[in-house]
Amino acid sequence: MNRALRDLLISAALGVGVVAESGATTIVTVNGPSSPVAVGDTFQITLTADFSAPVLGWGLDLTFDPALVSVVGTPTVDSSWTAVFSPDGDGLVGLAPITGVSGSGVLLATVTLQLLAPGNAVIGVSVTPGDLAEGFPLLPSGFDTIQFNAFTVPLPEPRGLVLLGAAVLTFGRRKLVRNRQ
Amino acid sequence: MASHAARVDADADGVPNSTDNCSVRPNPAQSDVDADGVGDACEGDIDADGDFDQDDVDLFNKVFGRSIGDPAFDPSADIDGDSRITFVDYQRLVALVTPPPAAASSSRACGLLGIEPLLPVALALRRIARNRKRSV
Repeated sequence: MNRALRDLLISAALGVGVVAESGATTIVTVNGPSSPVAVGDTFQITLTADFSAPVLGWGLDLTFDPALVSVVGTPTVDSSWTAVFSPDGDGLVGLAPITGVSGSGVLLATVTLQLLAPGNAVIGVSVTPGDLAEGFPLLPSGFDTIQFNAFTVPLPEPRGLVLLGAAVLTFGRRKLVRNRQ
Repeated sequence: MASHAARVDADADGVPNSTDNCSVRPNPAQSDVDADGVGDACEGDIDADGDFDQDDVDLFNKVFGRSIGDPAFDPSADIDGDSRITFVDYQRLVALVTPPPAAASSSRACGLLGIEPLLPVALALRRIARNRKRSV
């Protein structure tokens, strides 16, 4: 390839990189079970992140309706981070090695929860504004902007709806048989 | 004996250890901007051995999140002096442990920051101009 053309392509790629970095955001996703969770059951969620740039740690708050869900035990911070003291006591803080951590789908922590009552149980995460022990500190300085993806606990089909569905199917089938006769 | 110990000045900065706010790194001015008793020269040197390395990071991990008044609070880890050990202190400690490459710092000193991505473009255009001249 012509050297001049190659240099132009490299510079174009660099330019794209600069633009992408300026609009970058860390995306945090709460992942949970796909099968229904019954009232009284415990289940696990994981917090994963897609990093737009290397970070030196993370600190988050879990958000949920305490009438529907409660945390069981202490969250487990993934081994790629150093679990440290969390000032708010929720155990959701990790420090990265000094080289920082980057990548997609990076596991932050695993949390065990219990479903206390039926309802729209949404598990989300947040960051307390102004709390410098939370968020995603970038390497070497500043904090990344964050986008959160919450998780809704799947519930078993309500018994009444199941019965109604079965009744409709039965009547429909009878009608079909009668029409054929 | 006691008077000799009082005169020991390990970092030879003219301030005896007994009154030096940073006895392992020379700081004759005794600057302590955040007034936490730890000289600015020693902020981040958590193990007080005169350098910034992984040992300091390991100790930092044990005091992260602590605030002044907490028995585990360590003023040498509170590098920004806000009375709380946070991610900002960690960022500053990491900068002390891994100083920026000489090339990057010199380009900043020359005021080139922000122009670097354009350099390959300039070089490519120059090369194209040369090739045209040769072909003519």
